[in-house]
Amino acid sequence: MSIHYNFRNLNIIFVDDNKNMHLLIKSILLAMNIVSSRGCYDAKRCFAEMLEDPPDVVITDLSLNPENGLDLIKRIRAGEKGVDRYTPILVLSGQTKLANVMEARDAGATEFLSKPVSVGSLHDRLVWMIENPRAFIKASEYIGPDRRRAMRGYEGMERRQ
Amino acid sequence: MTKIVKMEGYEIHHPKATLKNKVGSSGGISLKEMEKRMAKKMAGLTEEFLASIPAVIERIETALSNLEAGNGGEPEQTIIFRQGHDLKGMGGSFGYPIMGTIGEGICELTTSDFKSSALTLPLIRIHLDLLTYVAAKRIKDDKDPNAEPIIIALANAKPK
Repeated sequence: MSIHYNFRNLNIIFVDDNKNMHLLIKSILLAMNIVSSRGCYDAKRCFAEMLEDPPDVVITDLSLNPENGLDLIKRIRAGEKGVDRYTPILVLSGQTKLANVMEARDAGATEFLSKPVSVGSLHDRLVWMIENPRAFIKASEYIGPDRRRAMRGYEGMERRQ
Repeated sequence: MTKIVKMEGYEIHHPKATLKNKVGSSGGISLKEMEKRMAKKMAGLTEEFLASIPAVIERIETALSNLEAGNGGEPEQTIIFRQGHDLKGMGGSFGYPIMGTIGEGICELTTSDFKSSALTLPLIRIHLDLLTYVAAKRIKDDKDPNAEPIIIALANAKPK
């Protein structure tokens, strides 16, 4: 029998510059019993929120304005302004080319989930992150989850409805 | 406290805080129950999504008209790309994967690799017309009886 994790204590920040995606992600998180979630429209707001109340997970799109998601991930991994650099980061993006996934990985993303998103796909990826924590590597040109163990991430056109 | 193992030229960090520590293995609900909860909300969310489409069409229309009239450039290309990108992500998420496919097509036609002068504006126009039709008829996917001409038109609206 599979474990039904209780997500109620998780605190999540999600970043997407689209209002409809905010409504959808918030609803999905609520359906998963995650009541402590905050939506941000840009990286600046995300940083302010992270400092005020550090989240357990950041979910971010790659295509953001004015600063893109890759820069946001790099800034978190650098521990800028004192944010927790080890915060798990799930990229949720419609940019699903292999190059996009590799860029996200090299910036320090923990996992990658391609849009469209559903409660099933987000739940599966979150459970994966819970059950498969990755050590961090700090080298001269990279800090982030150990890339020698690949992200579960790239299913390319994965479309779980 | 994070355990740090020093290696030659790099370090391995083992953060103490893990997600597993934050979630309990009791008192949770099944995925089936989560999906049931979500299904109840989807109708309302989808209506909001559909209500936002006319504004998307208008933004693309304005930018495309400028490009067609020779008054536009990179900013218009970027506007159209971003609208396509949003559609690509949202279409499937809100149960309208055909809109996602149209958005994907718009992205491919306006990706930054393309110079504005080389944009295939008639193909973008076809995508916009298809989006307008799909939104008006509320065509969700290729199972819809009205979808076939859309699928054919999309397949033909690719750069040669």
